[in-house]
Amino acid sequence: MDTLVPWLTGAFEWATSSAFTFSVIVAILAVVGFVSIWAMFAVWLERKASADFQVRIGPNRVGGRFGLLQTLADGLKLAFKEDLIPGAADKLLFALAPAVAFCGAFAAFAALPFSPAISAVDLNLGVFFIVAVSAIGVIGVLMAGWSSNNKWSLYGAMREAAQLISYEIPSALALMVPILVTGSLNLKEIVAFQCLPSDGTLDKEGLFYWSNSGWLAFYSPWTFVAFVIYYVASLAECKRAPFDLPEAESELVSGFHTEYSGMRFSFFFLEEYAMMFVVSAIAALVFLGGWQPLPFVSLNLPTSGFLGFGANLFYAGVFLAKAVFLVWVQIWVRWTVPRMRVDQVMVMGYKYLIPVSLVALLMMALYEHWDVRYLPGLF
Amino acid sequence: MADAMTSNAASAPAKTLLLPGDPRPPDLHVDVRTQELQINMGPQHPSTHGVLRVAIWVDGEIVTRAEPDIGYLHRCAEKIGESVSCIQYVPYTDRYDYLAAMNNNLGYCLAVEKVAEVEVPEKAQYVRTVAVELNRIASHLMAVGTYGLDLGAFTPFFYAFREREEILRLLEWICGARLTYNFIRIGGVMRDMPAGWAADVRKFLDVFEERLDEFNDLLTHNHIFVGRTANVGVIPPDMAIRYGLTGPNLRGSGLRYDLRREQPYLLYDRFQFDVPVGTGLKGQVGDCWDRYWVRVLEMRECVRIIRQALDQMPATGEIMAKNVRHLAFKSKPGEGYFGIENPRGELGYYLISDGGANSYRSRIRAPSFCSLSILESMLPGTMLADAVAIIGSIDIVLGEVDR
Amino acid sequence: MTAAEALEQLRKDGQGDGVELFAGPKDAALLVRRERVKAVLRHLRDARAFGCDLLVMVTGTHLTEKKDAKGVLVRAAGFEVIWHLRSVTQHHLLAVKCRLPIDDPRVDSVADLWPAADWHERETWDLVGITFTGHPNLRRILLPEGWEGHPLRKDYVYPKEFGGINLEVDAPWPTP
Repeated sequence: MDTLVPWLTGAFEWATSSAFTFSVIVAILAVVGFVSIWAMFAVWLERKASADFQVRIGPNRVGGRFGLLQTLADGLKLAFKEDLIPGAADKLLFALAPAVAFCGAFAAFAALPFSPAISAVDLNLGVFFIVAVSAIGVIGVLMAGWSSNNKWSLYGAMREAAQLISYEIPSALALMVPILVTGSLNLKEIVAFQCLPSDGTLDKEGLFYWSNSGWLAFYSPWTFVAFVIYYVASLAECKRAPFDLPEAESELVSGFHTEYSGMRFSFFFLEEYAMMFVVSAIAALVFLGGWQPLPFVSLNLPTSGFLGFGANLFYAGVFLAKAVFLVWVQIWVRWTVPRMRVDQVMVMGYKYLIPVSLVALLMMALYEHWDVRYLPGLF
Repeated sequence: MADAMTSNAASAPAKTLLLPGDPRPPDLHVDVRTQELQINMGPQHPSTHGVLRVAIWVDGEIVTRAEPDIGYLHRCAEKIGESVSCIQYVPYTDRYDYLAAMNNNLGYCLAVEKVAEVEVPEKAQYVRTVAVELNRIASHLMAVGTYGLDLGAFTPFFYAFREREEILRLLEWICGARLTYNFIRIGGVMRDMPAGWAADVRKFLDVFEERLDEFNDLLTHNHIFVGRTANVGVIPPDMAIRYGLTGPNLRGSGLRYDLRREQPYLLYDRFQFDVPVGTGLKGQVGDCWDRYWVRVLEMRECVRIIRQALDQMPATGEIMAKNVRHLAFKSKPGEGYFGIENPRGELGYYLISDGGANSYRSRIRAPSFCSLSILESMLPGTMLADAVAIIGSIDIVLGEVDR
Repeated sequence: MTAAEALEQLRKDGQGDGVELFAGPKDAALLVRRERVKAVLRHLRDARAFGCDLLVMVTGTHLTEKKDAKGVLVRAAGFEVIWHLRSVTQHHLLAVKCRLPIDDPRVDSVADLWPAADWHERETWDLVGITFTGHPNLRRILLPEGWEGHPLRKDYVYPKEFGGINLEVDAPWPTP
């Protein structure tokens, strides 16, 4: 959007206000389109990957040999299903809940940069914004559980609230570590930090050069610890196994969305997959170098002009590949391990993740103060 | 939502909330008002393994009281046993413990043979052993697979089902059915093994032993799985006996008691096999993990038994007793109890015959029925998720509980 | 341990009062008088010589009157309750029987000796209609609450309807 407005006003001599309106619409449409296509792809990926893990074949009829259009068919089926609202439910909250739950994940997409130039909004507080809005989802889940008038759903909602609040803390603390290093909350700047050249020159020439910091996950042991903590906590925030207690099919009969059907159910589904992408994208941007394809070597492509268009697409591709890989790891974990018990989840959050993330934050601060990266006295 | 919460008579009378200005209680402890919630687990619930309903009273995540409610699948099997002839009743026995139908056939046939004094030829006994032990593996695979499912591990279930599918294929080959076999008949078996069947069984056993290791890597020693099952639902041996637990549930508590050993039927005294018991490898003796582990170990013993049975089996021989005239089978008057080691415990048939074609009374001692009665005293004090783990670990089949 | 040996041991222990040997063609059993049932079962459980710690099952049977071809009474009408006991340590199986009169099927509950007996006695009451006095919670277990009669009695007649559901076999299907 920030590149679209000057381009429209410059090349086509549009008025700034109309250019702004137009680019807002384009951004919204792009985000909506991306989320829906992503959800379709992610569901397909999950089904195919789980089939591989489970010595099955998976979808293989709709849309060619690999069942690429299976999700579309399922989506159509869901859209045409009867929208049931239980008689004793709180109708307003029940109807509102899926929308609220989806809002958070959807809003988070707005602040995600895909490449140096492709982003809906370039927010200075990007990380903060995403962490904040993605927590809105829990309100929707609570509303759903409460309004369903089903005790199992209520259980799911309560578990979700407890779990999300507990795991927001370690995930936010873990994100503080790279922020401490880079000194910025802007996602683009965090990525830019990861490709700073080693000799400190700002406008470095040449296609490849050694980068100063490399990917932040490998910047220092404490950033790596932060990366692991963030990833584990993000699994819990997305309600993915082994933290899928709010849904816990074999205990709570699907938890908070037991009573939902049709489109309303699919919104919860969409929210889960959107959140998976958001947390993976943040992990990729903050810890894994965003759109930089190699860990310690920066690739310096021109990002302006006609070639820049292609370069941006390439960068976006690299970024998407990383995010999809992290999502795939989430799927991998889900289909491998059993579910934890609710007290074990809390113990893990409060007794292990939070103290360790606090230690990581403190040590990182000390390391920055001493200006060392790996071990004190080594450099 | 308030109407959905049922207050329990046992819970403390509700205290009025403190208002600002009220005198504080001396210990400065402000009670949060909590309410017990009664929830219905079942009859339609993913982890009650059928149509079991457990009414659970919970305080937060802690179960305070549990009351199993059974009978949703009741078909009055014992009445059917009185109104059809002994021969006709064999297929009905398939339907009680449908995961171990071969064992149910066997239990009934042995009881009838005991009362009616029928001598079964040796070859038929070997074929029965192989079929029954294969079925035991299939049943245990189902038990451990669905146990993983109860704890949220989806993938091991499919690995267990892959092996079970092989067994079902073998059993289908020998008798034409995948679940309700009706293969073991009074006086022998339905037919001899087809050519090539024994070789296929051996091939399967070789593959199966390797895949069992794979399964153990995936589920048994998984850290989360152990965390969910070790020290959960501990049944001390004396409690197990008092509640009439048998089979893997009793052995999980550390008691080496197996009817195939203690009271050998068929030809079990000719085979060498171990009786695995729970040893508290990961937690206390008699916890959910021990019961699960006993089942896994038993599958290996089944493999040993089948191998020996195939080795010792005579190449040719009668497969049906001479003195059983199936169309007009009449038992001698008398009564008898025969208990066999079903995958779920001691399956016993108690028959009274007054000389007719039908038995006068046919009582079934269903192992799941006895195991299930322990729930009421085990669940209180555990967490809701543990309740699922405990129900799964005692491995019930509702067709048998309700009969 | 056979039933005959058990009876001998019982007599030796001074518990043989009211216990006889029931020698069926196959399985022998101890036939115990109704008043003595609980004491004998308790002794079988606790005495070291028996050690019958596992209650396998409780069975109730409705016996109808039976006469042979000459009109001699072979079997009197009544009820029979059978307890099968196993010893986990000594590996034997004992059956204990008790005959109850047809008009008063009532026997002491052993649910306090073996918790396992709880459900078995409920089932026997549910299906055969034998009352176990002293049972903490004697109500239907397999059949729904409010069902009439006990199906395993030989004179049981199937109900025509239950809770508004027509149970007659050839009843027409309800039209919507």
